[in-house]
Amino acid sequence: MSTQSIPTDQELAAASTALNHLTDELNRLLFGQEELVEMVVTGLLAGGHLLLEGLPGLGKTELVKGLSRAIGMPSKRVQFTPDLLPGDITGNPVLQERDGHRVFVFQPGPLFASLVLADEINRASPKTQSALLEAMQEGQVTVLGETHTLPRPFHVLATQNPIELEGTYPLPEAQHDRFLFKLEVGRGGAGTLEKIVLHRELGAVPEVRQVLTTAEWLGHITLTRRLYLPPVVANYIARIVDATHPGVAKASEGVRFGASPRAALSLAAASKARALLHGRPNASFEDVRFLAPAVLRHRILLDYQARVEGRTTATVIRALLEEIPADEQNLPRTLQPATRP
Amino acid sequence: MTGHGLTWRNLARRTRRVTNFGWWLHGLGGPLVLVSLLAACGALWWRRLDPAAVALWMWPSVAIIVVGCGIWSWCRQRRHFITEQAAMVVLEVGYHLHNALTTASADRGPWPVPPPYPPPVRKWHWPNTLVPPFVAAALMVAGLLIPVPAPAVATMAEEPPAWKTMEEDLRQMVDKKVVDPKSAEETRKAIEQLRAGGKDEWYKHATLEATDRLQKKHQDSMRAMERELRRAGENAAPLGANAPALGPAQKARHEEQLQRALDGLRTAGLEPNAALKQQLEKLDPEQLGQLNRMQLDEMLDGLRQAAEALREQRQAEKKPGEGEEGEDGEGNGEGDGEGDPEEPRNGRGGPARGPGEGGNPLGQQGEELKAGGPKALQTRDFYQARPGDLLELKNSEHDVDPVSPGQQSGGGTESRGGGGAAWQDSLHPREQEALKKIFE
Repeated sequence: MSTQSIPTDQELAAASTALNHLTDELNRLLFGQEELVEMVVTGLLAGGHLLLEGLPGLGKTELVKGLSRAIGMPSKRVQFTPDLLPGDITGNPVLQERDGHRVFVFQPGPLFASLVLADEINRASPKTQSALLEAMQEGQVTVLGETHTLPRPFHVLATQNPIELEGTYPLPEAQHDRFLFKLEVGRGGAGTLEKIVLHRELGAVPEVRQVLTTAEWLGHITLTRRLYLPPVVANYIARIVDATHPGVAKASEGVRFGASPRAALSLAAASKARALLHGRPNASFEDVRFLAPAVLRHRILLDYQARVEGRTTATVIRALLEEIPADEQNLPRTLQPATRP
Repeated sequence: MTGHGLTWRNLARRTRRVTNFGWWLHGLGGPLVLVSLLAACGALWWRRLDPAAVALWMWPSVAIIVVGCGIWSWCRQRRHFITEQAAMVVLEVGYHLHNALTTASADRGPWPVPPPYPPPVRKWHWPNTLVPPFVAAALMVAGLLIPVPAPAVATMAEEPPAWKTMEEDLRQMVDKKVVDPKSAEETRKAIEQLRAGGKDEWYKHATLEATDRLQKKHQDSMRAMERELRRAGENAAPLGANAPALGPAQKARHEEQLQRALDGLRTAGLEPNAALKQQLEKLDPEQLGQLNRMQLDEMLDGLRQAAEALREQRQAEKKPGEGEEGEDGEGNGEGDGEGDPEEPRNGRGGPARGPGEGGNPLGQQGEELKAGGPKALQTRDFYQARPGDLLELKNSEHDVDPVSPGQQSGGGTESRGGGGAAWQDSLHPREQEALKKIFE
């Protein structure tokens, strides 16, 4: 539990207003993706890294670029390919002549940005993926034994294509666990397409206003950590994460490996971020339920039988949320829940 | 704490009370029904044994059952009881408050504004709540109010009276020095054996049958002993006093009768007392003539007193109005000698004797029945008593079939169902039922 000071109502209201401006701006950029925008802002506010999975052309790159401009944070984009080397993303020492001497001078790679878009991350070799792993986890890179700290804040938004898996290197479980959310980017309906056709032009860069400064963004991240996580919500998070393991809950049937404690921490942090987005001083059961699929879906590994039967992590999580009640719903026969007011 | 906070806390307390009470009732229902069922069965059984005790212990027992089940339910369901904090979580989930109550109670946020008329988040499931207590109450009331007939065996706590009567007979006859104590011991042992069968067996058909047989044997023994004592006295007297006056044939007849009487006393079933036996040994027909008058009278007095004691004992044993049961051949023969119209006794005389009178061939005449006088019945079995039960004796004629069955082929005789007719016609319905069970 945080021992920092309690956020005031004014702080909460101001932060909520600013963050709503941010989401509004991003929603003007990306039509029909309100939930995706909210999840992205929530994830970044919780200080996490996001994995976006979706087909090409759905606006993933555009979202990251727009976010960079709206927050005023420097961003870099790396297109991952099989021949991409770790040094290509972390940076390389370059031999330079200074004062008559030749010395190696570290030339920072694209990771040295507050917002990094790792496009098609599953096309890079495991070696390069591991270099990214250290950067995401430690906030630093080590080149030739020399450690270089990455800028704060540091967020990685990686994308991957769910099709054309030939010649790709699927991310290992350990690397999946580093991502706070795995978000599935879907396409909008005809109405969304109509808006896109009407308001966008091919090749033109849409205009995005800056609504926050980097300092304000960092202030919001700090404020998020000061929000209250009630013990009952923490208990709910613990029960849900524990229930992902095989044999604990009926819904976890077919699960081979459940979520890690990092998943519980991620869910707690994300819940507080969403609470701030909605101007509340505390995380709630509703936040946990809303965010659980994004936090858990890439941290649960199903066994072969379950996959053959067509079960997915999404169905498992949905069943878990139905099976694990937030409050004490175990009622005696003599009582029944009244109609919810 | 603000007013909102107080309102929410009151709501939480109410929710906690309702929920915990619901859990307590949930745990109470099953055991209460089960215990009530057992208690009802127990009450029915107990009421058969001691209705007064059930009436005394009825309400304390019901209270103990309810309190006991309540304590048991509380102990068992306590693990489900919720705290006020948990009730607050129930409220914030029910009212979609995003855990604002928990946060406010931890002083990490403001209390939300309560609705003006907050609806409850839990409501009673009336069928599940009310049915078990009603069923339990119905069972207990049924156990206490269903009429229970007292079983015949259970109400007859006293042993059959015939046993005491026989024991009293034996005791008195031993006290009067008529019967040898060792010979009385055999009958006593038989009675003890029947008594040892237990209260449940005392009024079973087999026991009653055995009692009847034992009583009949006892009475036969007494009657035979009395008869032989009288015969010995009657035949000893002429041989002692009038021996010289008797003819040889008469003397031989008396001697023969005396010898028969002595033999009969040996096989009567009850042995005479040692003193009486000593006197009887002196009754040697050949030696009687040598006794003087005083010795003979003394001996005859002893025999008469013994016979009288036996007669009185039999008289006392008989119920009022019950005639003495005749014995085969007893008093049914012709008397010896000439009849004496003045004195109704066995005749004496030789071959030219007149028709004798064999005493009362049907036994001693019983007392008059006093028919026609209704008499109120008194009973200790209040469960079977009905107001106005009266006993009235009436004189009636035997229903004799005037039509002769006539001769039948094969020597067979017409019969109404053989032995079955005897118990079907003469036994009490409850005895008939008991016999049916035996033959089933």
